[in-house]
Amino acid sequence: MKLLASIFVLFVSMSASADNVVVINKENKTELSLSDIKKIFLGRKSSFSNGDRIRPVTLIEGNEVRKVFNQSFLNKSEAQYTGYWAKMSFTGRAVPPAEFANSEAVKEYVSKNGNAIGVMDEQSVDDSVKVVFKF
Amino acid sequence: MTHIFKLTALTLAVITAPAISNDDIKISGFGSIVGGVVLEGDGYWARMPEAAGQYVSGLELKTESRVGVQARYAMTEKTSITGQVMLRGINEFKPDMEWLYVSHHITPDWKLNAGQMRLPVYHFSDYMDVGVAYPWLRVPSDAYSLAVTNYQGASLQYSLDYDWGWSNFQLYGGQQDTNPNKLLNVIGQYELEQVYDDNGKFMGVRDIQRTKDYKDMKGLVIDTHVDNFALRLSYLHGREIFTHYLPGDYPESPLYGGEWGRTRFIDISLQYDNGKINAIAEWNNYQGIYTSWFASFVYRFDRVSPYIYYTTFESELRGIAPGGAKAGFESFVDGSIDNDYNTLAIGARYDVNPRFAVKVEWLNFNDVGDAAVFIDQNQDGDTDSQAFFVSLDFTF
Repeated sequence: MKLLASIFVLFVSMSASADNVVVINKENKTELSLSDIKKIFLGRKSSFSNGDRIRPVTLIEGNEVRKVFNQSFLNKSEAQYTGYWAKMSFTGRAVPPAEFANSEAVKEYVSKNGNAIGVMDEQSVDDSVKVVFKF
Repeated sequence: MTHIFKLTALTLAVITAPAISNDDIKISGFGSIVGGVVLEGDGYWARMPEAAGQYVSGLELKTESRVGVQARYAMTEKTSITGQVMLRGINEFKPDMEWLYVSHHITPDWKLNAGQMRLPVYHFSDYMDVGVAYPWLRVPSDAYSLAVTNYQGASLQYSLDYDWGWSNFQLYGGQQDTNPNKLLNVIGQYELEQVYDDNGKFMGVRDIQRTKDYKDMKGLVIDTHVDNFALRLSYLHGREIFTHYLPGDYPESPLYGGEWGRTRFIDISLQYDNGKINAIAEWNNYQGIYTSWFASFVYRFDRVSPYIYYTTFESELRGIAPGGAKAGFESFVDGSIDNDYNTLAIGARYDVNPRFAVKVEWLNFNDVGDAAVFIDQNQDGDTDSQAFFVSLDFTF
């Protein structure tokens, strides 16, 4: 776990100039590794370490931040992402992340929901949310 | 024709409007319009559930086309009901309730389902109808031949999350009656009941009836993903009863069958997917009945994903003599194999947009066994064919 935490910190540091982020509620004290974040947005991890159910949210199809996140972090094109979630939802395995029109809406949702985690652009970040990953 | 009109109207209505969704109810769907032509041979049949996949002449657009609509209602934070209605061309697009089950999260990692669900024996069992979710025009059908696709019962799932991957364990049990069993009916009709006139012209098949009931089914699926690798192990055992009736004999006088027997089905798949390369092999064995497998390689170039697969099926049944049913029957113990065939397919998927994909596929079906698999004008048990297909897969 220490190694993973170190890799996480190193990655965040190295990515300091990135424009996009993953955020959680500012009151959420959970530590998340890159692997955790990837699993959350692929429906493979549904609860935080304290047992609370996670509510992932992302941006709508066509949004550039979502596209970069899906391609560079989840390793899926938009078509692969849609196909993946068709598989997951039509088999009852998981529900896809809720989608919002812009980063302001993601920030507002995450700031009001203690178990939320969202994808957004860094410019819209303020102290109502906590950044856990930059990309 | 009325059903086709209704289907078209329904499809247009749902794909031109966004999926209905709020916090409690979500309605979404998927579909495939599949067309095929036979290039060589008397016909081709991809032996899909409900006996879909029959291609004889011209451009056939109905047999495998389908639309599914799914509704999920979240009753509470932990409990939901999911229903899925399928409209299949092979069933004249009449709506059938495919799945209806309740899900309850005991904890975030433990989930209990109960109702009518898909029997999770194969890697792609759960979503073999959802064309946008896989690269091929259809799942390699020679290796997906089990004559039961859904079951009534319960399943308990546990998700195990660890640093380098995740595993899902699924324990399930239930039963299912299939009367008639459409897939086994059509298999039997082409194996044993093809009718030809005095000039050797194919006149159709006789109307036999086959039933199969499954009880005491108990299964375990372990699905593990580590980095880009996925290993899936599936084990099912239970009891089944098969009955075969000649035309006019149903239900009083079965020709054979009618005794419960134990059954066991094993399936193993290994997949590698790094986003560009997708390679998968899957093998299964139905105890005392058949062994089948497939191997596939897909490469993704942005929107275009060419693929190739090889799939094969070999039964353990030995009742039909070489030359097909017209040649008579042979020893069930040391005769030659009835059903032994393989398919080589080459195709490509093009993603028009994230929710629409167009696929094309050419395949060569090589029939090695004694029994006819489909129309057999030469009446020699050899039903080789080549066919070409195109499909439009969508989700909404």
